[in-house]
Amino acid sequence: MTSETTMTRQELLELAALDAFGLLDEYEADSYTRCFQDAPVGVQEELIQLQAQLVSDDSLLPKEEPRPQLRQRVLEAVAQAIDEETSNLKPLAMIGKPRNSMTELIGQFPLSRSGQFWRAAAFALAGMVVVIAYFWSNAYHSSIEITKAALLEDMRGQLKEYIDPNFEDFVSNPYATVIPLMPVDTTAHASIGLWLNDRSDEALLVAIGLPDPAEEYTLSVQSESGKTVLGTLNQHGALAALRLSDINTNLLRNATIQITNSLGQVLYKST
Amino acid sequence: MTNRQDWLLMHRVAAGEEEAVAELYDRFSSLLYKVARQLLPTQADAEDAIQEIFVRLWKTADRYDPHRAKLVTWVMLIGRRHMIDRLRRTAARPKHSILDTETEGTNEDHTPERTPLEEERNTKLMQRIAQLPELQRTVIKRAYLHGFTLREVSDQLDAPLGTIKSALSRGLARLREQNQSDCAM
Repeated sequence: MTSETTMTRQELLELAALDAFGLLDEYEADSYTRCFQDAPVGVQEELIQLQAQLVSDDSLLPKEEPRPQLRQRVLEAVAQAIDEETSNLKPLAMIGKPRNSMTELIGQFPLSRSGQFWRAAAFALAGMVVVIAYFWSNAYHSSIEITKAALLEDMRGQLKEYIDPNFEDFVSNPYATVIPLMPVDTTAHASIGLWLNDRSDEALLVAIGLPDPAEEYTLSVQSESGKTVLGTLNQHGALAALRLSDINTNLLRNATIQITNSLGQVLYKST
Repeated sequence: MTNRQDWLLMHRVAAGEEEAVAELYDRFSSLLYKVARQLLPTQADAEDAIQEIFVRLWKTADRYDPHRAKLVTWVMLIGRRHMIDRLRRTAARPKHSILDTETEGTNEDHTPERTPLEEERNTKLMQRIAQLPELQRTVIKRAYLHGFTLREVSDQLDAPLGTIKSALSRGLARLREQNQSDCAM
């Protein structure tokens, strides 16, 4: 009934109801999610609407409302949890402080050519921290979120300048999802993410810390039908980016995305 | 609220913004509480669960994906899963052997502290459930009201998982239809 590749619209609708009520076990919920993602956009919208309608329906529920005191109690409990998390994160948050002071200090003096190079390098490192924090957040969402927010606040301007003027709009778009690219060789240390926007059919690749600023890195996609080169990365020191439009985001999601060097060696790929 | 507004709200919640948490509470506490009162045995349990759910919502807020679900679906899913975990932890669910002999309306045995209005409402629900075919009735009681997974129900009844899924889905649809026709009368 629930073969992952052949689920019909009717089967999806049936499972959507169970999924909305948390009645599927983990495996089935994952299976439903995969089938949902493969479904046409129109069916996805239908499933989303159906689930919202089902869970909002309180006709089978008791009419009792929470006591007014519960609101304050809940807000205090969340605030306390945030405080505890923040105090656990203090040592991590301190990492950012010396770098901020240095950035301010550098900004007060006219810079030589080599000074500009080091400033760019400092920005690149700072940016790397943000992107690494972003990737970490996928695994350790809550613990990194506060630090990430603080870092983003400081680094926003630098990222816009060195990566893409619309970087922030693109990655913060609710329809953008990110695919991390992992090193083939475990000694490589760049942070690379490809953001895909299914609605606008656009993608933005951001790479920080690629080994050679003079190298020509290429983004390509490897699917069953072969390899397609999507473009060459635009580099600025340790930062590199590539903006793509009119692309099939579903195709990218289901294929292996690769970054190769000028010798054609695959350095990073999606998993 | 648009998807983008909801997504922004959850990012503010993830960042620990108190006003955002309050907004989230104001939007969803009533619905969550009603589910909690249906699933959990006492008012105190329901209130504790609501408190824990909002802490959990803060911790998981940045996982909310507007492509995948409306915010209400996400919140209710997190809430319902938490309540079911809580039921399991406290072993408040009846043993499935008890369910075999359970008569209509005895669900209240496990849900003390109900007001007369609630008793009436719950009785109505149980009456509607009682009108369903046997399998749908049994599956709804076990999965929807007592938080057993479909796989557990399938094992308990020694019936294929697909049959259980269909029975639950059809039973829930039928309950909703009954309710809509009652409201229209």
